Amino acid sequence: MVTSFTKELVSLDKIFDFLNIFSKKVKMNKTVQNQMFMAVEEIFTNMVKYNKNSGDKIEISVDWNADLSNLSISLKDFNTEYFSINDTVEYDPELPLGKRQPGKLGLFLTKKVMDEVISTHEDGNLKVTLLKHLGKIDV
Amino acid sequence: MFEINHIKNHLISLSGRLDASQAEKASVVFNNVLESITLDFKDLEYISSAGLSIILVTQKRLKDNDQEITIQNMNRHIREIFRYAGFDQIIQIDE
Repeated sequence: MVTSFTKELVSLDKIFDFLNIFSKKVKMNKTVQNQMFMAVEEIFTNMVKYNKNSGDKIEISVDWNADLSNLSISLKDFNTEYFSINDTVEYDPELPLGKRQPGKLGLFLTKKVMDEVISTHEDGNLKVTLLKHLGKIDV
Repeated sequence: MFEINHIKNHLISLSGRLDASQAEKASVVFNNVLESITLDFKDLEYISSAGLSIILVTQKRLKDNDQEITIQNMNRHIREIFRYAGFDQIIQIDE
């Protein structure tokens, strides 16, 4: 399943609808569904906010294998500057309230709820792939 | 669909999905909170980092004035997200 979305935050409703169709198709449980929504939202939102001069569409593709043991979702942003998810500063969930600042939390949570988050930058295009290994209880 | 309602003096109810596209709507309400408040999450299905950031900023501002946020009726998914983010250490969550 591959679909393109306009690069703006209001696209989130359409993205959730798109992911809902997929999650119903594979009978995904609510927890994994919400984890998938969160990871996709966080990456999409980062692309909207920080790659302002890139293309006006973001392509999202969802793939899964036959026994539903692996779920893969990719978000592709076009004509972007170099970015690697591994270069980002880690969020620290142990900090006291007074030392916390908004920011970094989205990527941190994405890494927490997914099993792997891989970013590649090729021919000027940024692709972030979210991988989730599903157990029998997840679907 | 996201809704936020100030249902009485110290109680705000949130429902639906608080994602990045709804953060502005939530901010308008939270920016006007000046005293300790309880957030009722009974009908809140989902929250992302955009919503968490608004809660963080509000909690910091309230704590500076010896006020604070309490959250009640949190679902399992949101509780897990709060735990990952360490928000369960900085915000009172009622069972």
